[in-house]
Amino acid sequence: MSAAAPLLFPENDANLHRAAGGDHDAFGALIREHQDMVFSIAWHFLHDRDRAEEIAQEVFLQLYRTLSEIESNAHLTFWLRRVTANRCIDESRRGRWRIVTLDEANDVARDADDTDPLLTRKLGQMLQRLPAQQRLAITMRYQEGLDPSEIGAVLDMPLNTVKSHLRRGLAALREWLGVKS
Amino acid sequence: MNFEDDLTRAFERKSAPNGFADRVLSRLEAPPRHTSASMFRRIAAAIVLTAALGGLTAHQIIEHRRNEEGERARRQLMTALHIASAKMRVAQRAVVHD
Repeated sequence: MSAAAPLLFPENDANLHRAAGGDHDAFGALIREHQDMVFSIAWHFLHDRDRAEEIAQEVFLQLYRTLSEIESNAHLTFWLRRVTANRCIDESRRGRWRIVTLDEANDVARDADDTDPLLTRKLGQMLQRLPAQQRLAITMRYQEGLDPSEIGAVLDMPLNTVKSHLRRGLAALREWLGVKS
Repeated sequence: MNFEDDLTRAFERKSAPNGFADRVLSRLEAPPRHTSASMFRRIAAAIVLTAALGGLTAHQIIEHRRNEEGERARRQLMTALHIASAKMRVAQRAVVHD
């Protein structure tokens, strides 16, 4: 890193700047910083570890080709969330993701109770039954902790649409898991 | 059960697989992977290109043959005109001598 860089960029942005200049070590640092977020969005969407990794790798390869357009680390986080979401949608349109059948989902719901330590896993499985947009909105809300307006920005969706996706998705999950509102 | 808390726990970030970053970095240097869709597009493009080149070549061959036939017909016509002209000169000379 040059001596002047920290004066111009915060530490993370300096990494971004160096990566944009072709520094693979800096790009590696950026990947390590954001890989869990990108992988997790894809994993929660697909519930398939191999394909989640494939999507995450493609996202970072696309990032490498686009680095010069990324202005800051905050922009980078936004960009990664949006591109990962778009790739998940593309993947679902290809129809290669595993569909949880109604019988499987009912089995999961029947097994769920208030003290079940596996409830989080079951919630993840139930999520697979939701439409793609609802799944992404809920993932952005509960994984990334975004509020509806931020979700709208990431998913390029009006605020009321985001709220509707969240409301319907959560209602469906509650119903399938037998949770009272 | 607090449903919101359960959701937050269910959606905790997962750790990316070991060696993830290294695999991405190694792909920066590797030639691009071809998906089945991109392979299909390449094959389709190759077939269309081959068909277009084949059509163009056939057209040029036909055009060449037409030109050859035209040239042969022109030469035959010129020969016929020369013969007719020679005959006319012989006939003209015979008339003048008479």
